Amino acid sequence: MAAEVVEVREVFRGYAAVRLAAVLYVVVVDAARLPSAAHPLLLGIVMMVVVVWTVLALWCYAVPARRRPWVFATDLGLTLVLVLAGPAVLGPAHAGTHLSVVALWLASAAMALTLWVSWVWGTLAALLTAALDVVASANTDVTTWDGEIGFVLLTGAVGFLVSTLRRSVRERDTVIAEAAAVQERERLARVVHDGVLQVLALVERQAPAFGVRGERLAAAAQEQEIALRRLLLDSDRPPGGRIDTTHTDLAAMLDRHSSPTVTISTPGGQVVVDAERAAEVDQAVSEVLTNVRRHAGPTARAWVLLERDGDELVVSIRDNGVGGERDDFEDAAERGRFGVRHSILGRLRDLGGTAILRTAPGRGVEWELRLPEEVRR
Amino acid sequence: MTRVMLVDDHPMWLEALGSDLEEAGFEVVATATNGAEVLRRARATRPDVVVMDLQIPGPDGASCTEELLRVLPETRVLVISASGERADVLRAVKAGARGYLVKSASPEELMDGVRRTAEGDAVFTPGLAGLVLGEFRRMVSRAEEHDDQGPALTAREVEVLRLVAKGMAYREIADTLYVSHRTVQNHVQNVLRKLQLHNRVELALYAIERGISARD
Repeated sequence: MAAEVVEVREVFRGYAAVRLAAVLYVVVVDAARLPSAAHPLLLGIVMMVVVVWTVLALWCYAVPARRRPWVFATDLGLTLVLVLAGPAVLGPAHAGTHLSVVALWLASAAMALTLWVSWVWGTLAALLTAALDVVASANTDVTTWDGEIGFVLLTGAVGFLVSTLRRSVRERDTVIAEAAAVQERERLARVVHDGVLQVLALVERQAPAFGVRGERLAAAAQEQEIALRRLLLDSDRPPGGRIDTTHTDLAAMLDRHSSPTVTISTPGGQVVVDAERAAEVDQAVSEVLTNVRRHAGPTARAWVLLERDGDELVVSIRDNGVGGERDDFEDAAERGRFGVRHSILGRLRDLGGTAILRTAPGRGVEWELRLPEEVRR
Repeated sequence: MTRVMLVDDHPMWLEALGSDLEEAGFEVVATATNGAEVLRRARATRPDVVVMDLQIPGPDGASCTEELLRVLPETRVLVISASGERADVLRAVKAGARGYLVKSASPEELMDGVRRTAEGDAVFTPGLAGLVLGEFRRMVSRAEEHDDQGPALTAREVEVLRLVAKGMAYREIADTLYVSHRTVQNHVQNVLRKLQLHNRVELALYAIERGISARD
């Protein structure tokens, strides 16, 4: 017997309603046939058995735990016995009838199998019931088998539909459960991450007291702390900034540049920009930061500020390094330290924006990149 | 002597920060490890400065800041957080916190932060300045959409805030703009005050709107 994973209450309610209606029909039909029946007493017993067993069977079918094999077997067995005994009970006066002694009720047992065991078992039971019904009533006229054939097809179809319904309910439940699990994992991750960050910060704080090795430990802790914090800064930001194939969150993208010597400041939430434009801006920032690392001096720090000013995006990159004469940036255009200038001006021009450079000896270098948020055509 | 209360759910942190503060001449009058304790202990000890971790067992640090400043408006709250999740930081600052530092700031930075908070100064990191700048721009554009008077920063305030966001210390900003250190401090404080004031106005408007719709 197939294991029932998903219990759909509506299936039982529908079944019970149909079966009770079928019982009502049996009572009405057989009561009408009672005066002309060969054995009225037996017909009365048949009606009683149908009523009592239906109540008992429904009580069993109502709960998954009570749907034992013997319930289905008894249900089908009883149906077959009544179908076979029917013609004898009704007698010669009803010999030509196509309506068995249990009328449409004969479909109930096969329907139960198709609903709660499998549509294959249900269809087989329906075939057996229909065949016995035809044999018992000695109905050799194929053109009048429509009721039986319809009943067999319907049993199979209903069983198939219900199994499909169950599968989709099960899939939906799985999806809901997975979503809940992901949420819970995220919550736990936050708790764990926060704990890790606390310890890393504590190491950064206390370790330098233990001399040179302690300082190295503190530096390692700081790197890890920044890497982890970068991941957590905005839980609603997609990691790396990618939103879909055409758009990127520039803020999350720039966040990736943060390090012990680079501080990234952005507005809260996402700064959604056309993916290609975002990549260009990110590339420009990368170049400037590489330049800072190479030329601004060993102790230089850098700050990146992203702003959305009306329809414009403004990215400022400032370092507190050695700086230089602005003319140096003009002259050494093609190579080395200031080669970056042309590359950045070119990029910004392609984006329809501007790049401004400010520097003085000993006062660091500052770039201000401005570009329209949308592509101007 | 400045009376400080520490809020953090990590005992190691409470201990480390507490001893640093005592060494630096502060008096640690209370500690709390969760949101429920914060209000009770603050009421009992009335600290000058509360150093508030944002990630504490409920109610969280931002909500605690809100509640604390409603009951004890004279208290100055300095927010510190390990992960620095931007939405939480912004919420705490809008609720009235005077400043924000990342937990991995050096002990000197932290002591300096507490001292400045006690003096009524606004303690900004570049990250917080970027966040606040973005928040004002968002509020202004929303006000324009509704055609009403939004909270506006003066050109000078924007300038100062941008320089903070670009990593400049108040002293450097003062030199760059040819103003006094005190003037820079005032600008930053004004920005914070406007943000918090606007937050209160928004909350009041929200309450009124809710009140009116409840009567409908």
